[in-house]
Amino acid sequence: MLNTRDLEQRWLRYKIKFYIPHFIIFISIIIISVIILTFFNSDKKDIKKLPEEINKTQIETQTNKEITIKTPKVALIKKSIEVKSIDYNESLVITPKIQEKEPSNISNNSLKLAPSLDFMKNMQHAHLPYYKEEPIIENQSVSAIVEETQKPEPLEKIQEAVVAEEEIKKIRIKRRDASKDIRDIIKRFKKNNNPALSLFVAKKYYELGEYHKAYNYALITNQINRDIDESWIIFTKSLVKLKQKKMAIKTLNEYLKSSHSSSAKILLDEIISGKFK
Amino acid sequence: MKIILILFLALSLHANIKQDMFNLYQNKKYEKVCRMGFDNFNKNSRDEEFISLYAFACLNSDYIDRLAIPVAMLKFSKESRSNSAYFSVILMQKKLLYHALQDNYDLSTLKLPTTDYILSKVFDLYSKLKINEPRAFYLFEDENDKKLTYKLYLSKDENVKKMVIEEFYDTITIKRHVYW
Repeated sequence: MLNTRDLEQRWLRYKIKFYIPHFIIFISIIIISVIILTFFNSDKKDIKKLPEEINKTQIETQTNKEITIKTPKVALIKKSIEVKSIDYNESLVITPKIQEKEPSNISNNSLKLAPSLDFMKNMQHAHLPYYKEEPIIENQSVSAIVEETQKPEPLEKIQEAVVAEEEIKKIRIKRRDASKDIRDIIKRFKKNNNPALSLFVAKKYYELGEYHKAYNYALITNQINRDIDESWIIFTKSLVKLKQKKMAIKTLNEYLKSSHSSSAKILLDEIISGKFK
Repeated sequence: MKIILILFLALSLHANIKQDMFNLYQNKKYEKVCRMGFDNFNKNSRDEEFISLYAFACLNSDYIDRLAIPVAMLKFSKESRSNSAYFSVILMQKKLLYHALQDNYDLSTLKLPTTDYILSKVFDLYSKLKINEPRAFYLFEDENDKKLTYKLYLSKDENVKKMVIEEFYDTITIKRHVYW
């Protein structure tokens, strides 16, 4: 005879065991989605809070420093137009009355702000470690490409070597820092043959004063893509630096026939007039 | 398991956006970077590198008004604060120049910091003019390069007047910037 009670119990245990993994997966998905949602919501809240924060700072500056800015749309600032003591150095007051009294004082001494692009270097370094595994000496990798694309005659080589030696002496410290980056980018270029990378290398070498290498990489870039303006510019600039002014002018003239690039025209004018040496 | 995998994929794609933007920025696709930054701003609003990259891309593609939020958000590092000040000056100069052109507001008494950006150069040149009758256009010669000239005027669009700065080198138009 069948023991139904025992069978029922076994069936219940089986069902519980069957549903446990599903239940765990369901709970974990809910937890993950809740975490993600709270993360994104907190970001949105921060942005929504911004206008409030900006208004707060406006009010604070109004009370502490007596700064008044006459703009028709801001109602908060209208109250404080009546400012009696004005220190021109500390607080900037833009009102029609003061404009009439103060003489025109825009001088060349005004402070010049410059953008800071160091964060891009960090970003670049953050992406580069991917290629750090292969320790290849820079000279070997570069010389392989140089042999393939080198165009100048042997006589020029002697001049270039002299120029290169002088340049290396001047900027030795910089070169050591940048050479690692360039090496990594050359590796990346070898992998995907992207003209943007070879152009970057050409630019870097030009900045470092290694005009011969800059010339070579600009030439490689031109061979891959003939329509990159900057590549032709680096190419001709390097030629000028390598004392090949005539060749640079000839190259730019040829390029201008097909492209009508304004920056190339500017460079050509500068080379002809002797502004760019 | 499939859902978890999809979640991981989504997270990895999210991380790649900054790198993609950086690569595009290096290839001078500023407008695209600005658009990408705008679309993904909420997800990266705590990343100052992302915000700076977005702001510089928008600056280079003449979307000056989009600098307002980066100006407010960049504050945690010295570099960010410096860039924030840089953007805020450009934004202010754009607004003041637009106001001056439309309403003949006198800028000659203002003493503001300047930058290397085209708008700042034109602002400085315009602010040297005293109150005068509004002209159809203004032509300014670059102080360092006489061949370089800037033409400033208002173009009448259907809805709003737009401020246009044209850069000329030896009568050749190099670039046209439109702000409103």
